[in-house]
Amino acid sequence: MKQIALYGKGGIGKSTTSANLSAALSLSGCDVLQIGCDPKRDSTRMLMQGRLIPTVMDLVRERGAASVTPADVVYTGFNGIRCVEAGGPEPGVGCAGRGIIATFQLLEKFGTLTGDVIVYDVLGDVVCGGFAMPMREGYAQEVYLVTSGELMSLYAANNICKAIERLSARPRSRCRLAGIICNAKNLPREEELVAEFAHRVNSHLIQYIPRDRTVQLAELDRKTVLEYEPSSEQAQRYRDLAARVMENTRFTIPTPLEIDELESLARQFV
Amino acid sequence: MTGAAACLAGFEGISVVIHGSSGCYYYPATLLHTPLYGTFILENEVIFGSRDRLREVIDSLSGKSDQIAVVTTCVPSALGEDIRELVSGGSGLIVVDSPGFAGEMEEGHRAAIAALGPRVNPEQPGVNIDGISLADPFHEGNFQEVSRLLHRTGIPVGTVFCRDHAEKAKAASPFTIGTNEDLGSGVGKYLGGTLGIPALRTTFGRLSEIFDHADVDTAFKELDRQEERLIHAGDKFLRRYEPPRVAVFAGAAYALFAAETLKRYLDAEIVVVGTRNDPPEKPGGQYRVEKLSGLEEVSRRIAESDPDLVIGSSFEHSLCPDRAFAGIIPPFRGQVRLAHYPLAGTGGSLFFVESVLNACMDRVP
Amino acid sequence: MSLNHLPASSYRTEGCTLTGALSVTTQIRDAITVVHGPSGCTHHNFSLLHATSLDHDRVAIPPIISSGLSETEVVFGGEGALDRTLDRAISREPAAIFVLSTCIAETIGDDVAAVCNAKVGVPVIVIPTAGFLGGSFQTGVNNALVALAGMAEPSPGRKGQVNIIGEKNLEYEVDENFAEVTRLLSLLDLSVSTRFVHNLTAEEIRSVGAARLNVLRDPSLIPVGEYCKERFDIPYISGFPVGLSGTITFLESVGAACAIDPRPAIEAEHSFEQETLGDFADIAGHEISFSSLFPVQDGERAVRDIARAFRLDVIPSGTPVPVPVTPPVGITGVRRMLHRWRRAIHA
Repeated sequence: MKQIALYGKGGIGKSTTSANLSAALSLSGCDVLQIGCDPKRDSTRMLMQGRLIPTVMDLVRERGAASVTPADVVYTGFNGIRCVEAGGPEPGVGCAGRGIIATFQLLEKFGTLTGDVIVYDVLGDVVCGGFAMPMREGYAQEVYLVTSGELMSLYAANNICKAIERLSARPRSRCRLAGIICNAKNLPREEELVAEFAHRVNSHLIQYIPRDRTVQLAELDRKTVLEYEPSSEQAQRYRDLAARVMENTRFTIPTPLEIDELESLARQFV
Repeated sequence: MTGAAACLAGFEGISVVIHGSSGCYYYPATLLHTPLYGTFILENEVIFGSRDRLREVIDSLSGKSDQIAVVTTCVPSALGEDIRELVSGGSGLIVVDSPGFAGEMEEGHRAAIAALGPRVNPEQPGVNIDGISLADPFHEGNFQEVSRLLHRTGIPVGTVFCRDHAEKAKAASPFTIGTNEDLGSGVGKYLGGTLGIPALRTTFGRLSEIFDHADVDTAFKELDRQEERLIHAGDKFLRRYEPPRVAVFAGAAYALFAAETLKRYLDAEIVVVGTRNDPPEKPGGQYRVEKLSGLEEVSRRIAESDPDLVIGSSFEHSLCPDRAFAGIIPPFRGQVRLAHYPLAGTGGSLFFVESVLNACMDRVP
Repeated sequence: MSLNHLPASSYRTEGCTLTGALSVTTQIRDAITVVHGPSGCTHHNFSLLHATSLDHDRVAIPPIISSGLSETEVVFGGEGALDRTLDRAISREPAAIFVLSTCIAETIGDDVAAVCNAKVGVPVIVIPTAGFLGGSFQTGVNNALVALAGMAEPSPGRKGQVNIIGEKNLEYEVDENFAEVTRLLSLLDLSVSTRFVHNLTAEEIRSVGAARLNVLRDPSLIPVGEYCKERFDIPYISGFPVGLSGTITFLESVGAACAIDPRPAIEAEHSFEQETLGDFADIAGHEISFSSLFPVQDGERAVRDIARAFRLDVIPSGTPVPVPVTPPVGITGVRRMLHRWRRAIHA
């Protein structure tokens, strides 16, 4: 069973990428489970025809953990992809990190964590231990970072590299950086920049995904690109990504950069 | 958390709510022997926020005319919820952020006093008494003893921090004397402590300058007479016994009082002074004062220093049950304690030296 | 002590997993328990356990050390502090180290298991607690017992004696209750193999798999009973004998589980019961009411049955008599309770 985690700065298109990746993997024959680990709980929306599925945490809060069943939290979406949303509090209150931990404990208890591929879609501002939960032993061994060429999103990706580096240092840890996915803003030389960034943090650019109107149109229709326009170029890019992910063997411990290194790198490609 | 709860629960007219789980509540509830309330939060309230639950508990208590004080525990505190925003229209909710990870009991006590916001009324006669905390088994004895001394000299008692009516915290006297400097209130001008005869002399000297009508001579006569008895008892002890090698483990203020008192009357050899909290910068005395964190360190120091007499709590006593022991910091397990003993005032020195002498004499070598 | 039960949700006051787990792990004399959290959590429980120890006439220092999380660790992560504390524990060369986590450590998301798994040389066993986030006091007890049972190997083909599982170590009468069960077992020619867990060494835990029957303290221990049944194939009785009829049922169940004829034992206990009825005949006809802060579900029924057997009327205006927190164990337990009732009635 392959377990991969996608981390990326808020608004970078991480959930779009995850959903489309899951769709592509599923269409290629894999049994896929996607778990949204973000209190915004919208990771699986495009796989569920625009529906925001009930979250694990909301259900536990309403009914008590003892009364929640697997059927209450696992929903089947596009092409049989199983979808779960962890959920969590609104902004400025509570503890979303603890919500992630509690969700994982429940899913373990339910025996939900099965399939050919599990895709964890995690928010990128990993501000406390709870958000590193998907990278703990027994869960994701491959982490993909979703970034654009903008400095701020590279900065966020670089920050997550620090977490992965630290976690990888544990003797029994198998969590590694598996690759960088560029979700472009179509800036000049963006692909080169992100490829160089990937190289510098000891990884590789596994897929460049240009900004494409098809994605917006698909979203408005509440679908992934794979469902909306399977014959489009963009759909093919996601299929390529899925294939590369399945064949990928380049798993490394990242070497995060200092802020000035990052800035001078960005300046190189301006 | 416990320090803060002890401080606020000592004021009649304040209802203390422990904002945390039942596990957190249980300890101060059994230690302080006073009514306490709790929110008893559950995991969901950690994840989604505990505001509703806290509001529910506070609303249920608002029927009483008491002022409500909320003391936070680790998890609600780490979540950083805006508890103050729960107050609608100046009902005077007191909020103390005093999670366990923020420090020792003394830190909690300080934070609670700050949140209470005591005020001095310059017209208020008399002197405040400081250093009184429900968590201290000597608090009642200290209060009674120091009140008695003030009464003898005709100086009225102002506000007692922290064991008084809540309104009196807003109308404290301008001057304060202390019974335990670790738990100072910072209210009013501090005139001195009451632990040990020398400190009492200094403090009553200062009191006589401020309260010129006060009959301070009565106090001094008592101090002289009782000190004579202490000296006599110590002297008699030394006619038959060696001065004890003493290891002291307590809060800094009581620890120093114990060390100095035994040195003074028994010519004791002070081999260890270990404090649970941070000792004052210049502790004075010719012995080394060190902060010890944990029973392991205490155990090591006892083994290294080989004392005849151990002053501390029943934890220390359990580490070396064959040595003479006197308890000055809780817990005191294994004995019944019903009376209110002081460590402050003349009575405090008498009680302490008496306990030590009996312990030393009873010990079979 | 004012207990605030708003809005009548008793699951809010079911205590902390730490206290439960510690009441088990500190009974292992040559092991150390590390509590990952601020020092207060350790202090509270240390104090309680120390006091309980002294109540049981044992001078014991509970072997607990704290990772002492301060504000810095809460903000920046506490795994380093845990690591250092584990090293401290290892340097004392214990037979085993148990690691418990607190609510704050689990809120900030410290990966306790990962830090523990990195240690070699001495068994480091993580027991799921997480303070109140992990459940109640009883959850802590059960998780600790299951983790400890996991340290033992199954021993198939043995026909050992009887284990006692899940005694309430914090109970004032813990040894007296044990004595009563031992007495009843001896009437069936059975003896106790392991008191799991009460005053043991790490090595002694490992023999818990070699018994023919497990007697659980009460039904709240059933998860542990089930675990042992699956791991060691040992059947279990789900509680100590409660009250009068409970004693007979207990003897029958144990007899059935061990293929021993319980009739002589039952006869002997019947005589004991008759004797007791005679000894306390003087309280018959009195009116009593129950005064207790913590009524126990099955306990209430057992106590009412006893009142009925001794011809006492339970009415609200009756003389208040004390009801023990847990129902009286065996006829000996009933007698002790009746002495307290008689004192109250004649007071």
